[in-house]
Amino acid sequence: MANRFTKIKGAILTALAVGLGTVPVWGSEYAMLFFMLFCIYLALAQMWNLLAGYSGLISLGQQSFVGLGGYTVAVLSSYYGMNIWLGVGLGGVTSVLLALFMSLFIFRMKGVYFAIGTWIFAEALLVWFSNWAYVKYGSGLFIKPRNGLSMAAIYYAALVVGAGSVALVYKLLRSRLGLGLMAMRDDAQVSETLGVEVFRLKLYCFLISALVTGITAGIFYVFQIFIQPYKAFAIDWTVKLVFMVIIGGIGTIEGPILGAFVYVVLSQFLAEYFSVSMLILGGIAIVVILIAPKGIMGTLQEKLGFELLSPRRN
Amino acid sequence: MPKEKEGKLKGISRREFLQKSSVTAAAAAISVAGLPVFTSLAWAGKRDHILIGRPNPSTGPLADFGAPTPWVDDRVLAKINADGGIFIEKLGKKLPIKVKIMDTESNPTKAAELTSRLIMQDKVDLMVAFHTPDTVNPVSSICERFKMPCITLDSPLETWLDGGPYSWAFHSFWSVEKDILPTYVGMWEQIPTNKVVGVLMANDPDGVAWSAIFKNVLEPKGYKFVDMGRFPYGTQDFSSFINAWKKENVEIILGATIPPDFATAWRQCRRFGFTPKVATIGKAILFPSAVGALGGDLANGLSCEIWWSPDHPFKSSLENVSAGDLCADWMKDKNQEWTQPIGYKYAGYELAADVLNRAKSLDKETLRKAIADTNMDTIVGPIKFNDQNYCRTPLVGGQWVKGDKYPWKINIVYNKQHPEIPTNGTFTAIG
Repeated sequence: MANRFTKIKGAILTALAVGLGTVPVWGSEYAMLFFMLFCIYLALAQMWNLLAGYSGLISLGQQSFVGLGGYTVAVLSSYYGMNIWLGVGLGGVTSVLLALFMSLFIFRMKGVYFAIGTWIFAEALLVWFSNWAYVKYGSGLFIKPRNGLSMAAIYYAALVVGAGSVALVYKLLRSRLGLGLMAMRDDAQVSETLGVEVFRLKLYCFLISALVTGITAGIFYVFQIFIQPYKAFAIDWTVKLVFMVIIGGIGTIEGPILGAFVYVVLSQFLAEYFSVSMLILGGIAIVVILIAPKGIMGTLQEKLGFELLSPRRN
Repeated sequence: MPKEKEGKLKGISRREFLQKSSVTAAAAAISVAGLPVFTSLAWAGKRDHILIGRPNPSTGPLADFGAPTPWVDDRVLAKINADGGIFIEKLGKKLPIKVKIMDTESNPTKAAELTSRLIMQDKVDLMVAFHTPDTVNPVSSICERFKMPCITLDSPLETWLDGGPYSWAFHSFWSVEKDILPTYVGMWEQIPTNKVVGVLMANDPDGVAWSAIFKNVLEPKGYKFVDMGRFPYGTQDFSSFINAWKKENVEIILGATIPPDFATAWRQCRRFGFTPKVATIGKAILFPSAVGALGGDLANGLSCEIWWSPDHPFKSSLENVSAGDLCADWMKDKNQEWTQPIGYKYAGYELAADVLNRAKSLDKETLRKAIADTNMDTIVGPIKFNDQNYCRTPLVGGQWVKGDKYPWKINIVYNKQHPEIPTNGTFTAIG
């Protein structure tokens, strides 16, 4: 299907791919830091969007996987000297296992109760980890890679998850799973009578989001060098993800891309302005919700029919 | 209303235009605002000044530590820059020192972010930081990862060593096991007690480290510890702690908390009618403002560590000023009582100036070697780093009593480890 936007879309995507792929070449170390943060938040936001925007699962507990992924890397590298990237991968595995366990409980709940259920799990993990001698209680752990790590290596790892998350969501939504999700989004009961396995779809999405979130968090904490339970399992993570996805456009693939970019620009730009940054971020969220309730990309899609990555197959 | 022709909107209404353009403008403005932030090219070495990065807890629960900034920083820099600054061999001239102070909000995550920014965006030549593991640990770790020479002070050694081993970060302060413990116990043993200790320690690096060390060393010596666990910052209800202490007949309270949490706990103790003979608290009651905030006469008899005071017999290496003189200047300028971080902030800059003067270069490796070779007397005492990159500074014990000029003052009541620092009071029980 060719519409007037196809050429522009192709050009934009190629430019982004080439640009991001070569940041260590043309950019300063700070540029690598910036785009690394962008890729990490992008991956986290895409996963939250996959749940909330496409599967109808509002998760207020993504920080469970953030914390668990981070602590897995910390424990494996600090205590057992494991290769750092292997540890990151295992962070994803532990997150999936946690998600499986969580699903036993929270998938019996719907809507608001599901949301609160995810949050409660995260808070329980916070209390557990902060009182666990094995991970040194609240004093946290350091992440010490056996060999030195360059900024470029961390950046490329973040790029892989960032770009990978977008590609994953795109492929997912264009597959049979995606068709099922969209049917489910429109009307869960009708789609169930038509043979869509609602429970299975939701579970797959939940597990996939846990996997990617766990791995992404591992990379984030490799960069941060230390992890503490009170920050790793804090509701702040959900607040950031909601901000990014709402501003960017919930239920669109490009929405989290724009939202993550806006968030990183703002938080970096406002880093020198103490707590005013939170006030400004909140203010911007309110303004966007009032002017463009579907987020910036959502509004662009609606008004101009412009979609960079369309989940529709036609 | 927009005109409709064959289902397609023809023309654009003013409302729509405003909506779309404001959304696009907002997006564009945000991106453009961000551009200069990361496309600026490398500047190090091409600047006309030396830039020191200074993450500082100016706001948040650790604000009392950060409060003497920027008074101390400005004063020391004025002294260093008075005759032009530091001579850099490669450039054949003197460069003044400028410092970029950034607020960590007492938050270790923010401290880590700011340190990364200072290293990668501001491209500082040297990093200097102080004030508790929540500031010092993230700064040291990030500097170590990105090979930035880093001078830190004012955070217990054991928690700093946890993040090691270090090549690029250098630290000076006292040790919990070798300095705090003997000082606290030295004070406790000056009055008769039943050796039952109630533990009030936060769930942070200090709380976890101190409680472990004290129990390990003192339990074999006959002390009994009543430990209800590590509590998170911001806990409002200590009744379970206080009830347990009352039940076990605790006469000594041992603490390591941030100032607001101790205030909450101590006030609750009074409300529950619990007054131990001794309350020795690390970190939380170092400041006249913190003890004053307790209210009434709750501060009377509280004991803690003293790592710097006007009575410390040390002088500045930059100007003819003793610890006492510096405190007098502070009190004159600010009309406030002196606080302990003043000396350590000052010493941090003394070290930086000494390092830069000896290195005569802004090359990171040269600076690192220069820091490692440090051997000087500062306003907090002699500093010489060992092969693990740290130096122990002297510690004595203090107790708060009612003051004459100011509501509360702290007396040095125990100095057995450092007799060169004179005492000016005797340790007494509370109440």
